[in-house]
Amino acid sequence: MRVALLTEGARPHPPRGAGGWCDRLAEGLPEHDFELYLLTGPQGPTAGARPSPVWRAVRETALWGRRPGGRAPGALRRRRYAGAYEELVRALVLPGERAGFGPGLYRLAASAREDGALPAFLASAHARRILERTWRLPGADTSAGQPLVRDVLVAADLLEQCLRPLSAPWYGTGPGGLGAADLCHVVGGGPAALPALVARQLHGVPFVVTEHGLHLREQYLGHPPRADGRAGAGSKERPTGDDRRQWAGHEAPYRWPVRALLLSFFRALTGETYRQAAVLTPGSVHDQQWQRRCGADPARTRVVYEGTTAVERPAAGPEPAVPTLVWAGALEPGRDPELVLHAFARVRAELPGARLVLYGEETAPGYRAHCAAVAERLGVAPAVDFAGRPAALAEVWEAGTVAVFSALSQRRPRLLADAMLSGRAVVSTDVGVAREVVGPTGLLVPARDPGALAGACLALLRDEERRARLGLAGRLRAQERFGVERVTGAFREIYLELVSQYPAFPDGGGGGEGGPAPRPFARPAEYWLADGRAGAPEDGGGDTAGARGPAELAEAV
Amino acid sequence: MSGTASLGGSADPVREVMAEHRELCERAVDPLEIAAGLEEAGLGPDAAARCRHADLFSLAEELYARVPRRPPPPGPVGPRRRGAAARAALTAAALAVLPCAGVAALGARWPVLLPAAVPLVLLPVLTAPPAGSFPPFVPPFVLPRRPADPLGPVPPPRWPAGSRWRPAALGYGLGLAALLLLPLAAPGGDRSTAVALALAAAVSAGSAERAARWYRQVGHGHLGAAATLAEFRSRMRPVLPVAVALHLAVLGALSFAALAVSAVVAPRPGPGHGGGLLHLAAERAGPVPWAAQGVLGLLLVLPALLARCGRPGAAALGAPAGAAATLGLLVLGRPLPSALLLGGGAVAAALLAYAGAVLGRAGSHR
Repeated sequence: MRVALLTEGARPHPPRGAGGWCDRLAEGLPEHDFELYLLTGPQGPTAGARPSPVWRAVRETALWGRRPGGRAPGALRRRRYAGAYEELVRALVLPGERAGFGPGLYRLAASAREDGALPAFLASAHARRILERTWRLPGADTSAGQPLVRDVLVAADLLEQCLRPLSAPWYGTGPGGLGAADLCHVVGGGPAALPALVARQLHGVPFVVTEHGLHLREQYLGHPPRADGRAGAGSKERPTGDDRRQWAGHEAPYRWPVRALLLSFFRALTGETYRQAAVLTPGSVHDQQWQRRCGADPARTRVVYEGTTAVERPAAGPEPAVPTLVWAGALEPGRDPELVLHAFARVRAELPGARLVLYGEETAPGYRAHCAAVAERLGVAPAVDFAGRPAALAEVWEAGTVAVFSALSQRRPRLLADAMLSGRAVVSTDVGVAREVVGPTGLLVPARDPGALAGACLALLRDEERRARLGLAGRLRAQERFGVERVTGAFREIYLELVSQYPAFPDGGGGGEGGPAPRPFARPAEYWLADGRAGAPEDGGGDTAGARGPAELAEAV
Repeated sequence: MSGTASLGGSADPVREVMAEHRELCERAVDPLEIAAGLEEAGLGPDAAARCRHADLFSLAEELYARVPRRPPPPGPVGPRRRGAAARAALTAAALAVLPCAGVAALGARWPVLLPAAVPLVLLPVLTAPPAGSFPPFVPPFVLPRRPADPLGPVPPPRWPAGSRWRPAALGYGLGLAALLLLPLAAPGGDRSTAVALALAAAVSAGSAERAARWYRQVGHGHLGAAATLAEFRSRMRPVLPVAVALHLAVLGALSFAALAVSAVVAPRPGPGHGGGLLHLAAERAGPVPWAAQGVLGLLLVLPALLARCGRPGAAALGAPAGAAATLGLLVLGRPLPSALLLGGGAVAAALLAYAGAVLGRAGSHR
């Protein structure tokens, strides 16, 4: 089976399937041919660039950076582009026309496939005029902030970048085309899903969407509103809010109307992706709820936890001599290290010998000093150790008696699962994925409650037998859920199930029945047994297939 | 409803959440953003249940409906670097006038002209604003990604800083060098007048740089103030003539001063020395040299404007074209002022028309 794996791999950020998830998947399923389709930056794929040899081919297209060259379309073609683009933009800004997103997108993709002038059109003054006119329509969703010329320029550029995958040279049924693949596997969602959507539309290729940490939610969280009138607003803030804002890290450079348009684009894209996807595999039940909210069909959703190689790691050795709480995470307000400091002050009042080790680096300059000052104020500074970045995660858990998580939100299970795999008992705030990951094998406390956290820590520190029991149960639970084989096994089944429902070559390329050279076993047996051949467009018609030469057929195969 | 109201505000748990997250709700673009923000702040299904909602999403929808949108007002465009423009103008003037003065002092021979041309060729590169200063453009996918590394920040993205050393900038510099050195190298005519006018033009390279930066700054301001592209164009329409006229006025004043100095330093031999310095300066150059000087001024300022407003290609074409046209007429045997007036004038007229069409567009000002 030929699997086209689509993901983003833009420097300086690691690819979406971080930690070699995609590589592990391809290695775990050697019976299939994997081809990697990467959306990269202008500098090419991630550093250490040698792609793993499991990939039969690696193809890239630049997602951001300089606009690819190319001539603008002529007047006639421009009208076609303009019509499609206007439909797309109307779907983004007019609440009543949301349904036009998909058709507009596919029309743009079809035009781009014909002459490749899409980037030049999107950057043209004509496209900007369309964007401005639609954006300022009476019913448009900009009631709260009128876009200015600056916003039109920035938004047009952003849309151009977002739509770049539409003009990637990946479509068609020839070698290297997505049409020749049996299925697409999108890892990470977002713009990486665009080629899969187009391939689904053009060639009927089904696609799977795997998301570890939802792209859409990251977009919402990653574009904090730009605080323009900062000086005035700050004084009215509550102190905690002010505090949080002080460490808020970066601010997106987009004004409100641009943010609204951009997020609207991602929302529409996510909705369309979820509707068209044959199977969705979110990384947690928590993410599944989000996906369902964005239009995913629960019947086509299967939770596949992100596998981790830490499963093979042996359990952590003997506990340290001094009762020690260990905390790991980025030092930032969202991970709430202050809560663990407050809780630790209470623990230390009961157990004067206790220690606290915090691993991780600050995300905003000065936050670590702020935490140190909090520890100083609480009088626990001598027993608190800011250990920075560890050499390996295993030694983090080794250093502690109990692993503590105090975050305000847990969107990904990676770190929690890693702690559980060490065999140490886990105390976590009951947010995000914590409940489903930890389950009955750890203690969950409400967020922002130092008393509860201190109570849970004390209970575990004082009861060695319970600690060991919970730690072992947690290790077994994590081994069962986060093993790599589990991921490969799940996708082996999903792939087989998909090809059984979708014809291999809907436009007749290697079709079984009508072609001049029927290939035995071109389709799995399940295909003939499946009831509703879901998503099968016109099946390999005899005429079209007969008209194709054998060479082309072989090429398609 | 009245029952709820009589219980007081604190009895409505939604109101508490609303008060706590008012800013988030006011600035959210849709309910999902509120849901994501609430989740990020540590609220979960139990908080939603306290507010009598099935999940966080429906709580977010209620908040979105109850809190009016109030996006942040358009803020200041950004810090202006006051000294940068003046520094660039002075650098440009110094870079242009020193080689010209050298050529004027040492004579226009190849061993002098070639080294003198080097700083002039490099002038556009050295005075260019730092690449990517506007807009603070960040691609949508890269900035907001949450750190994939759970233990710390990922290093901030580094953009491939657009190099200043573009071939287009060097082409523009080549044209600039040719334009400024040609009057010094051309034979014939009144040597002292030609030198005075050429030095004035060289100093005015600084004013051309300043005018281009001012034009860009005005355009930048209007980008954040104009509501529509048409309004932007109508706002920008008077700005280009003003920028060009300012530059020409500066050039005129400089030329007049240079002529006066040359009248003092190298007085014309012969009788008829009445009427004071102003009169002397005015009579040193006739209408044709003055017009040629004006054309030279246009050929200096228009490529600068084009280069600073995102058309380096046009600048790299225009400046050498003006010099080439002048040189062509010189070779055909016309004296320098009229060659500059006719050949350079034609190119300047074409450049002016092109700049008038192109520079008013919003796309030229990012």
